[in-house]
Amino acid sequence: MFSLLRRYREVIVVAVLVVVPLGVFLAHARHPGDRTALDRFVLVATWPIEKGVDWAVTGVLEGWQRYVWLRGVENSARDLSRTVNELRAENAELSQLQAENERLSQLLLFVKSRPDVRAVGAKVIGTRMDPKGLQLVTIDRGSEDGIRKMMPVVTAAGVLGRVHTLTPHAADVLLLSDRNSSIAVRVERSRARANVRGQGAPGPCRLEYALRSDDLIEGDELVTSGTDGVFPRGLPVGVVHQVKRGGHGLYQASEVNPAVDVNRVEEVMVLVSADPPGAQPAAQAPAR
Amino acid sequence: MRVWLRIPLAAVATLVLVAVGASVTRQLAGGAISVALAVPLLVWLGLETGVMEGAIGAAVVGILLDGAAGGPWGLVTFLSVVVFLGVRVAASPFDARSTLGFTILSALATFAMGFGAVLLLRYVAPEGAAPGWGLLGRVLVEALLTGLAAPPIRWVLDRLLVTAQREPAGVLR
Repeated sequence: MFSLLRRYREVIVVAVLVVVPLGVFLAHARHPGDRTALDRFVLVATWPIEKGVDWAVTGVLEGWQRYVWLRGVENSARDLSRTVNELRAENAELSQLQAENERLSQLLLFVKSRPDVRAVGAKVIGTRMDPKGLQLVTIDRGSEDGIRKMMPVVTAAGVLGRVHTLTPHAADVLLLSDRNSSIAVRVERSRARANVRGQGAPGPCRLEYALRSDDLIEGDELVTSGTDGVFPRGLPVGVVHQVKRGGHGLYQASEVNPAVDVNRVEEVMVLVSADPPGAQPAAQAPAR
Repeated sequence: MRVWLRIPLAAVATLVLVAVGASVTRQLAGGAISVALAVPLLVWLGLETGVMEGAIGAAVVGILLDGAAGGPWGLVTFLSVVVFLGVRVAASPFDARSTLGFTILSALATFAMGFGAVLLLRYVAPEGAAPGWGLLGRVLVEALLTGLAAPPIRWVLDRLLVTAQREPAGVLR
């Protein structure tokens, strides 16, 4: 008996493996029940694998789409690049307008803070700062706009210069950095008087006629004194940078950092109702 | 030792193949098509294992596939063992171990399992709940896709389920 079983072992096992599942199927197929423990086991066992495979397949597919299958990407990139360039140009324009708006707002605030003066706004349309000539900027307002020679020209930061040459629709402004420019100033802290003279180049000016005995230290703010017949009182001119007192002499020397960076001026105000320019320009006569 | 290891390894491979099949079909077609990646494993068992080991392995694979399918119990187990036997019978007249042979056998086995399932379910299911013959088109597509996927699966199985001993094809010796 056992030898027979051993002999037909394979047939028996195979037959059992075929018949039993079929019997189970036929017995239960008409009454399907809930999911069994094995169903749940398969679900539990395959879930992490599915998740892992899903992650891997997603990674592969995304990698394929992003790094290999790049058909049409060139055109898309070109379009996007064009759009980016347009937006950059627009952004630059808007930034420029914003900066201009801020500068004009400051100018307006400056004018409002000085009810004693009436101002005409102007744009800088040219600069001539040739070391062999005068330090000039050209503005887009002229005699037809009520501007006259010697009128003070300022920005929100302070004094820029004065009107030098006039045409009906434009004017040259002699900058405070020009060698021919001399502005009567007062030290804001100590009220000491002096003159600020340009050195012929954008950058530091020279303080002249500051008495050796005057209280002057580095960092002192200088404002117009109003005694030169050109600039009204109290406009910022610059800051004392280096003070040099020699062993002898009547005056002390100093460098002045102008309040206005003449290289970056774009909008200015011409003070048309400031003190009339009848007096002798400070460039030709010391303030004292 | 190596022989008995192949059955649990086949079970693990079944779970992996079921998961991969489910995930890949979802990714590629959102479930519009299906692929039976575990069937090439049955074919592999039919070609590379003995009758006892292969039949038990096929039954284990079938039980797991039954669990994954969620259908009536025993259906896929029965079909898996039958497919295993069918492969052993079908493989005897030609070289089924070639890549083309393995591919064709896998496709045929998949179709046979699908067709058998439709037949049996139509037999047992009540009127109206029985699967229609229209499902056979889907079974055919599944068979083709499974056949295409069979060679790489075989490549993996050859390395995972170490071939212990090649036995002559046929049901009985």
